[in-house]
Amino acid sequence: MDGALLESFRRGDRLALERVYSLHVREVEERVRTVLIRLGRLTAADLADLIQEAFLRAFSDRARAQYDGQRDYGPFLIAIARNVVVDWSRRAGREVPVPDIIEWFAEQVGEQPEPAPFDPALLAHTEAYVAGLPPELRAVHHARFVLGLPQRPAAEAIGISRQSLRTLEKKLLRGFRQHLRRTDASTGAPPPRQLTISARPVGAPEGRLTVAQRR
Amino acid sequence: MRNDDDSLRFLLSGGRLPGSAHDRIVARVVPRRWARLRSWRWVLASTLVAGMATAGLMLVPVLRHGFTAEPWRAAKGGGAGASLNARCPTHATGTCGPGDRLVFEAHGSHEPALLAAYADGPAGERFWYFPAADGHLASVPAHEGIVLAREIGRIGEDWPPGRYAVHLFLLSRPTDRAALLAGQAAIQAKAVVTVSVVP
Repeated sequence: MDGALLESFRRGDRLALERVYSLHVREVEERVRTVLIRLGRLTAADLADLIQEAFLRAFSDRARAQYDGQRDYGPFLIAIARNVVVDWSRRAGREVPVPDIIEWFAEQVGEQPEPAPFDPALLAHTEAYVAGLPPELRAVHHARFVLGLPQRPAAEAIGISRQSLRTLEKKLLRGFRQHLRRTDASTGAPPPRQLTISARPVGAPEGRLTVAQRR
Repeated sequence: MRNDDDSLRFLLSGGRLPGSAHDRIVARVVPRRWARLRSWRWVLASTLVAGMATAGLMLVPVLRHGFTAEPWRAAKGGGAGASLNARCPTHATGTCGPGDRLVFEAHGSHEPALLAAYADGPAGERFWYFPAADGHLASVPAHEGIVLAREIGRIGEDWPPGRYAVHLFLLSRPTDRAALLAGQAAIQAKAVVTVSVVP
């Protein structure tokens, strides 16, 4: 963190906090995600909650004051995120030794082969949908779903307004929902009331993600 | 519906958080300005100070110059709601020194926009910031609060001391100097800010 950013960060300036978030969120997300996958607990809600809690703690007045600016901020933030996950695991009563979680956190991103988080057939359907997107929707998919950019930088990256981005994203989702329905219908099976996306369990058979279909 | 969409987004992201999730997290972990006013004392004190300051600002020009309009009170945000400002970060509001950086701010710029700016000096001379000689305009990212233009200006080392009227224009489309001065540009908002260059 350079001097100007550090000073603004310590003051709690909004732009500085947003900058620090965007600089470090990917690494935090990858490590939290790895732990959740290994616990068989990867859901969007848990992943978002844990990342949010980690940054809430990291951006508190006390934590900002504690960061000395001499060392890299990344390891400082990762240590906070690790404590958040350990606390969450204890609260949830998981039978996972804390040393395991600490060890998983310590692994470098990409050090271990990552298990697929979803059913391969479902991933294949998703990839097929993305491959068939027109250029403007593919650009939205890349900015919002591959890079995970917030609205403002995503719109700037594509060169469109935020309103246009919102419209295109809705169109993308609507098309994806229809694609999944068509895919389901093509199997010949009667369309179910709910489409269930099963996360591939790793170590625990309880990770499930349910997508309710609109009727 | 929200959960349903979130699940689809999660799948489209390959099991990572999509941008919409980051939007929500940032909104929760980054405090807004008003959240810093943590006690009613702050609110009360701020209100009193603001009231007194406003009264003083309204009175001073009247005492000095009668009822003629002061340039620094010229309408900000004459267009679609955004307001504009220019200031030297190293000096008190409204003053700059030779060679200082001049930053351009927009408030309420909900769409990415362009910024044109020039300064009229005490002797009637005009200094153009944007469009630059090559036609380049400053860019203003969309933001809910105050946002800085990506480009900054500078007060000339050789600018004579005095009062400069800095004209600011928020534009939705590129334009050139002639079209801007002729009122033919796509202006979203405009403002005139007076800056006193002090030795």
